[in-house]
Amino acid sequence: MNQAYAVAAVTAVVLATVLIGALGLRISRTTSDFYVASRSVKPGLNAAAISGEYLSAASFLGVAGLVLLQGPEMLWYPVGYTAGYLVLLVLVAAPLRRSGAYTLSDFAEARLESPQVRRLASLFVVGIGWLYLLPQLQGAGLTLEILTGAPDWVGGLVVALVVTGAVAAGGMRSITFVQAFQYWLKLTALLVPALFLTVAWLGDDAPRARFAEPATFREHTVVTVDDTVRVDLDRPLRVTVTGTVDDRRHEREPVALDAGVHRIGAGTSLAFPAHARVPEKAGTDRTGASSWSQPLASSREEHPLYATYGLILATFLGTMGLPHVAVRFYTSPNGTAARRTTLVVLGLIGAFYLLPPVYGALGRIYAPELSLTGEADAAVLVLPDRMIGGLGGDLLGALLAGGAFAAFLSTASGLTMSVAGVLTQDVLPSRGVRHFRLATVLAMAVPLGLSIVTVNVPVADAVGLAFAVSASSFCPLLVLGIWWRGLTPPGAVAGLVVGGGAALTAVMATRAGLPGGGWSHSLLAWPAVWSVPLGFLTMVLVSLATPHRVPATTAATLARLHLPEDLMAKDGTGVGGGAGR
Amino acid sequence: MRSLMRSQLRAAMVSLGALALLVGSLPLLFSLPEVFTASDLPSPAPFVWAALGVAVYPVMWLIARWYVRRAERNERAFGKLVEGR
Amino acid sequence: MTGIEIAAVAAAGAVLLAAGIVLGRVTARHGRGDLDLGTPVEHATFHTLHTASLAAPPLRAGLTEDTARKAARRLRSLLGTEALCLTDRESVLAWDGPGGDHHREPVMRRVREMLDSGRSQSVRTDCDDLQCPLRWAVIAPLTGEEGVLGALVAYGSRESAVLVRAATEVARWVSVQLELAELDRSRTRVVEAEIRALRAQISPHFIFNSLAAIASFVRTDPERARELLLEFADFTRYSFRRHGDFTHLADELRSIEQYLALAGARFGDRLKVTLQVAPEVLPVALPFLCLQPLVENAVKHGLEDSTDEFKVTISARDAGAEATVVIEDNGVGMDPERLRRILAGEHTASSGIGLSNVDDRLRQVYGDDYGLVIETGVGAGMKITLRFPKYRAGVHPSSPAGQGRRPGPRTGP
Repeated sequence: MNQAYAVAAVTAVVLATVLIGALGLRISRTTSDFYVASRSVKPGLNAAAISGEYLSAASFLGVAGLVLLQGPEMLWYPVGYTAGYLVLLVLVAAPLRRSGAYTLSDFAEARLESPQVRRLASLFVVGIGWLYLLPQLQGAGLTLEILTGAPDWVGGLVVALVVTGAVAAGGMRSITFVQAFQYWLKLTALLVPALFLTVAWLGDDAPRARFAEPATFREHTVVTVDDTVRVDLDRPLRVTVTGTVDDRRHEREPVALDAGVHRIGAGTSLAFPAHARVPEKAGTDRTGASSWSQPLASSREEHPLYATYGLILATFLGTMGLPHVAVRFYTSPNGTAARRTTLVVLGLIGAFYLLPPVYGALGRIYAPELSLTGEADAAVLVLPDRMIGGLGGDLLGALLAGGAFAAFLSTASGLTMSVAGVLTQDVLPSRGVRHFRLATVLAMAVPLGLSIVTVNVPVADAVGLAFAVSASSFCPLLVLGIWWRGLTPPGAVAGLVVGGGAALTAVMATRAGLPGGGWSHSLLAWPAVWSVPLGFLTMVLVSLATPHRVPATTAATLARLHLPEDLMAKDGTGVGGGAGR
Repeated sequence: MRSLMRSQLRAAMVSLGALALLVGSLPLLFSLPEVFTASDLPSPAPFVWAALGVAVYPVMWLIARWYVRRAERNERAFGKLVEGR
Repeated sequence: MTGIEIAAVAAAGAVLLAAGIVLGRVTARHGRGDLDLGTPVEHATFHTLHTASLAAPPLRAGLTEDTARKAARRLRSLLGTEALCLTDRESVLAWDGPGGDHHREPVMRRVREMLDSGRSQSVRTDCDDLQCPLRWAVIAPLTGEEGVLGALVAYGSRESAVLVRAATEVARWVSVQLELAELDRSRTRVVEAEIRALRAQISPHFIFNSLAAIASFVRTDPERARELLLEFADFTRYSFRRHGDFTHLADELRSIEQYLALAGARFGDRLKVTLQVAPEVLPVALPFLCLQPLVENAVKHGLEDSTDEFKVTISARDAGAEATVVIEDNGVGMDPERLRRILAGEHTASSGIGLSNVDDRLRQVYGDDYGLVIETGVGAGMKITLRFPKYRAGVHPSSPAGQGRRPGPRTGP
């Protein structure tokens, strides 16, 4: 694909983000405009901002990639991302807004009045934020590698620098406008090419995507494998090889490969004839230098129902605990607006999620070799070139590249701001603008370092891991804190440590590739099924065991969380005392 | 005040129940081959695509809209109750 | 009239009647009555009431030497005793009648005993002076809101149950007067405090000037005059809220907007205002009337001290977990030394009260890190920067100021 267009598109997106962030304040120069300037943010605008920030690389690229690899079962990811907002609306939205909290650690302090819980919550916020940032940077690296052939750490570095610079320099002065712009940009970037691609597909006699059987190459395709990969052929295959296969070097010579496992060296090009089957990767290669392992995929195959429910629980219950989700509620003026905003968010992200499956299915047909090279996340980016080609393909590809970068930037900036805010308030000693800048650098540096060092995992899966930790730690805290009078600080601490800690350990083990296979692997790869109930149970039991530690102001706090604001204003403290009717 | 919390919690539970029933049961549904051998669909794939790719989103949005309406109605009723005193 | 006052008057009436009847009996022994002009009892009652009405006014001002002196004379004639004195808890305030010289000391000792028990006592005076007619004393407590304020001591030549009774009743009546006096005083205090608070919140100058400006539009542009009046009404309603509440930044900005509309009506084109708002910070809770007085200060000095065009810029930005508000103007500025003194609380002129008041309140609610940051110089305008944390325990837009508290000690490296 034409690099120039793509790079231009990416640059344009970056510039637009920075500019709108810097200038997108409401400016009024005459007193008659003040009315407009000081009105609260409408639910529609805030909802677009929330959606823009929420739709990350996982949504833009990852879902399509996973669908390409494993079929429509992967659609549970976007369904889960959306359903998570429904659960948030129903259980958390209005009370969280009414608590006045900006971050989740603020909520912990507001509800439980305990600095220990606050500090522990802050640690989890930072941890989950980093877990979520990591795949964004990796996705950016992949995108830039596809576009420009740069090494995969460059993309992550670019995003990190842009975001850190913008946030630390105080440029993100108007998050709402920036993120709202990002949403519409992403939607357009995904929608327009999808329309063209669908037309092209129809024009091609609408071939069907098959997931039950291995994909086939539509035409003669040359695939270059960047890293060593082992493939498992179930029938003999004839390919033209330039490179190393089974430790034998070939120079553009046709090779007949028997059924069975073969090892293809790094940098090898294979030319497949039309209608040849795409070889499947042979299990997970842990001994070789393969940098793209798919641990979750294997366990998904072994225990699909368990894995699906693990994913469902993680995404349904984890959205409420993500750092960049909670802070966006602060912008709503009151609880009712928060609820309505969330309703609009559901509509906006639902509309968006109609599109990635299209790309996934088309990718299966037209770019099946991505499963071989392990770059399935790039499906969205390569399709225009594959299917349409020429200038149109270049332009559409550039649009998609810009959209993808918008996805990285928006989510990364939202996460960085939240994590930096928490670091400034709760971890670094004193406050002030200077320390916020330092915190921003710190917030980005750790995931950046990790992204260079750790193994790449498909983006959507990596994000799912962050969801699992969030669901096991903050979901019990929020749900029990908002709806149960009996929650105590020791209970909250125990629940966070046990539930969140268990999920975190499982996630870490999975990413380190520790357990081999079977149930132990599945349990650790999808911890939500057991870690969420564990978190809830621990919180409830320990709270019941420490009834004397129930905060004295619980009744008043709960009144504030649940009563509509106008009633609170009229009754004042009388309502708190009148509670318990 | 407890009455308001109770009614809001009830609305929430109904919504979650609907979600669990309509969406959360789908994996079980998909894994039942009998459903599909009974009908003349060759594979469950189109149903999965239709359900997960398109159908769940309007369903979830409708559940959400029902909940928002219900919650606001609960709050209004409670407000009248409190002020009528 | 409040319930207390009605009860007080009723009690006073009852006491007077009792005292009158006692007096009537006492005086009736010595005279025959004329039915048309009143029996001796009736005369005595009239006399009692008249005397009582003359004794009342001084005591309404409280129990002091001055008032006690005036009242003691009347009270003595009311009771018809040989001598009467009024004391507070420490010393004799007034003495009416003979024997004051040698009885002042011992009486305080007796009064102190009575103070402990709080009940009337009747004692023998044990006076060594054989000429002194004061042989018996009745010490009755005078009570106020907070307990026993002093004593009324009535002296007689012999022990008399009537005297005890009468003295006790009169003491009770005097106590009622003193309680009424305290009520008066505290009501005055409250009203004064409210007036002071109001005057701090709205300057009378501003009201006068705004109304004058509105009036000037009534004939020429009645629609505008009406709009300005409505703005004025909203503005004063907001400003009359209790001083210690919290409010949203959006509300505070609206109040500034109304103020500027009113000030703009007066100054017209000379006032140029720019507002830059990041909408995310509009819900931030901050102490009530933190920003509007600063803007008012800036406008007042900028426009009234010079005739050039005056520009004010108010900007609200999102800074992570805080909101930053900057109020900048291009007016005459202030000498930094003077500013330092104002913020330290040594202000003298009426200007600058707003600055130190806002600074104090911010520090009180959020801690010393969150005071005002002001950059200024003579002729160089002024730039005030305020920071508000988006969340602080105890700060809610409906809570009174007492609940906002400073952060606890933070552990850290």
